[in-house]
Amino acid sequence: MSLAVQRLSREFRSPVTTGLIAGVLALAIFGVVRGGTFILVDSLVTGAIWALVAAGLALTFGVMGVPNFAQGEFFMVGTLSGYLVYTALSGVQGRPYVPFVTILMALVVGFVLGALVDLAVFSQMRRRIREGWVMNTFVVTVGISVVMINAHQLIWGTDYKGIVAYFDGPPIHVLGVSVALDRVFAISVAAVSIAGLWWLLSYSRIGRAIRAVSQDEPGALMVGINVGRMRTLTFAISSGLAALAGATLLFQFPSFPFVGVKPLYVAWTVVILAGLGNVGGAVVAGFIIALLEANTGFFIGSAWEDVVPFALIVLILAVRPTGLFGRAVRSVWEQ
Amino acid sequence: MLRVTELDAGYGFLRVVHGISLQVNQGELVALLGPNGAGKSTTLKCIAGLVRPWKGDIAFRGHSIGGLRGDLVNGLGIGLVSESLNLFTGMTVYENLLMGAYSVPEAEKRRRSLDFVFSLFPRLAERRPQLAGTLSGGERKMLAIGRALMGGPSLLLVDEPSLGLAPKLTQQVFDALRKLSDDGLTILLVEQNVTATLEMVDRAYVLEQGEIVLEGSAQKLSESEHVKDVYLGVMA
Repeated sequence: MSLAVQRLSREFRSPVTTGLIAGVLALAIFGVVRGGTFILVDSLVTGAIWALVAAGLALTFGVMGVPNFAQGEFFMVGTLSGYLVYTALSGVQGRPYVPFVTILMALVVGFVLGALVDLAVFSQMRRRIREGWVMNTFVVTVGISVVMINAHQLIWGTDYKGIVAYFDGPPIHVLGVSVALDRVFAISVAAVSIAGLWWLLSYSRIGRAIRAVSQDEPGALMVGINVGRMRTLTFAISSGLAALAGATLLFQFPSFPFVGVKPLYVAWTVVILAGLGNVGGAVVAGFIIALLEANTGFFIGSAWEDVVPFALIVLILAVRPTGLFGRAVRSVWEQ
Repeated sequence: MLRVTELDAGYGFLRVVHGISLQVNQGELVALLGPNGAGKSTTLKCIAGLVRPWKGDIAFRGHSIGGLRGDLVNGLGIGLVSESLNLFTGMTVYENLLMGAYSVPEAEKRRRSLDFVFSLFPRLAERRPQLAGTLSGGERKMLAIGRALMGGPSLLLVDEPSLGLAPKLTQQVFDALRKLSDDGLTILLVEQNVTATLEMVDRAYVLEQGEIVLEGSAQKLSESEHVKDVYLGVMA
């Protein structure tokens, strides 16, 4: 616990960071007062999901040095497997466990597919590439993304494959806003997953090993960690999280080949805002971006939803090139 | 226990180690001495599996381990304290030590190792919840040695323990290594600090430009004209 406080206080030592955080809080309060509580609820739901997708992205970059531009396609895989599993279970729909089975299956599919992609692509590249790792893997992930999009199109076509809702019960009322059960579901799933990820990375043996690889690779080898396996696992976890997010948001993002584009861009915005490779920061930044989106959508117009977060990125990178919480960048780039 | 035969190694097109042969017996404290760039660290990294040897053989307890991956070498009971220490700077002292025992499944054994490391370096016990990146140079060195000990190695490789340390701290670290050796641990040490090292070790090899030029007991080496001339600064 004292360690968490220690880390937190270090994060907030910079006046720029503190100022930005204060600004975001002010924006949240402004949104609630002038717009309504629903802005806050909206931001929490989408923010939690962005946090989930972005945490995976940050993890992949921090541990493997791979800027994963195929993360959106793992989100797409999640929506697709969610849709396929859910419709396959149509006989028992309405049972409360069905949505849970659905998203769990999506998680497994994403995890396994991620592991396979790492074994087939990145493990091979690690054996052969000595220089330009980040740039090369960047191009390769774009390639993987194109392949996955086209595979979806080839096999399942381009039409929207969505569902109305996982739960058809009446919405619940929180702080004077009625929130659909699916959104409650989404935020709970995201909260549990993020807590799970946090626990895994902080306290489990495997999580410590993953962090060890990201902090010092020769050091990890020296204490007997199978570095290659940890990387495969990292990519699998990250893909699994993206797929889980996709399946959870199926009611909002019907599956089609390009469904992953928006989550990908948002996740990258989040990760750049947080500082590349910083998983904890990505979670916080996920909520910040969602809050910005919700406020922009309401006060300026939904067409501007993507503009404002991106403008903020430009601004932040001009002031703080390492991002809000960026210290992990150094450890990755200076190796 | 460890036998290196005709080892060749290097980086890219640059050969750093030219046909080195050396041997460390059970329970010995052996030093590999020599100036900067002699290939001492590379030799150590080859043994630990961090650098792939070009030629030659490395045998540990009769089994060839040349070219084996670092994590597997560690699993066989070879601990390495590298020159740059390779600590996990974003983790606490405690977590670093825990990682050292990554391949030790028994909790009881881990706890005993932890107690042992804390008794060897009481300073680390005081610093237990602190991030490794915030430690002083001497404390880092202790942590790196402690982390290597956590895996319960039967052979400890130590690269330049005196590097960047004040003489007093160097002595502390050397005392700890001597104590470990007296307790029965086999240690292969790489050093530039010839005077202090020869006072402590049983046997030593002198490495120059990738080749072994001298070897023998510490006593013999400190009396050798070559060592006196080049390393001890004694005018003949």
